[in-house]
Amino acid sequence: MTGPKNATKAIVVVYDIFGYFDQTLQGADILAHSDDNQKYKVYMPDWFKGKPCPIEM
Amino acid sequence: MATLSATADSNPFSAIASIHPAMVDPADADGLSVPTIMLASGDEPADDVKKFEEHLKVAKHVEIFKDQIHGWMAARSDLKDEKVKKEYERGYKTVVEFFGKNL
Repeated sequence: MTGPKNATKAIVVVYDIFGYFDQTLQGADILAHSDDNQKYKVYMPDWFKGKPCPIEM
Repeated sequence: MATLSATADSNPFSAIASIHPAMVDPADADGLSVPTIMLASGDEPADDVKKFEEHLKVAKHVEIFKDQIHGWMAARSDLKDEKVKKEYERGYKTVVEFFGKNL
């Protein structure tokens, strides 16, 4: 979860089969902080509960 | 996933974003009643993306990043490549702007 405490809007991220990856986590940060007029809380639950698809596939 | 949850009978979302989606189905667009943004890569079939856009009856932004691969805004993204990094950031900024205008 990222984004400032006083954000009034939220974004829920459903990521791809590879799960938590740096580029995806960074993307969530960009979403949370990019808009000067509106900050968002970004929720990125662990949909795969710790077992995503390995990127080597 | 985003289109599935947004077309369900009780949709909690006020807008949705589909990023380089697998299996673009224009029929999914018919059930959408919230502002929708779709950013496709060069790997998604352009015809399906175009048809999806035509079926959308809501505030929308559909853009094809022709020179990017499926996964360019997620795990498969090669951020060491300047062009990819620029399009990766542009993609996320486009989503934030769309949400800003439509939420």
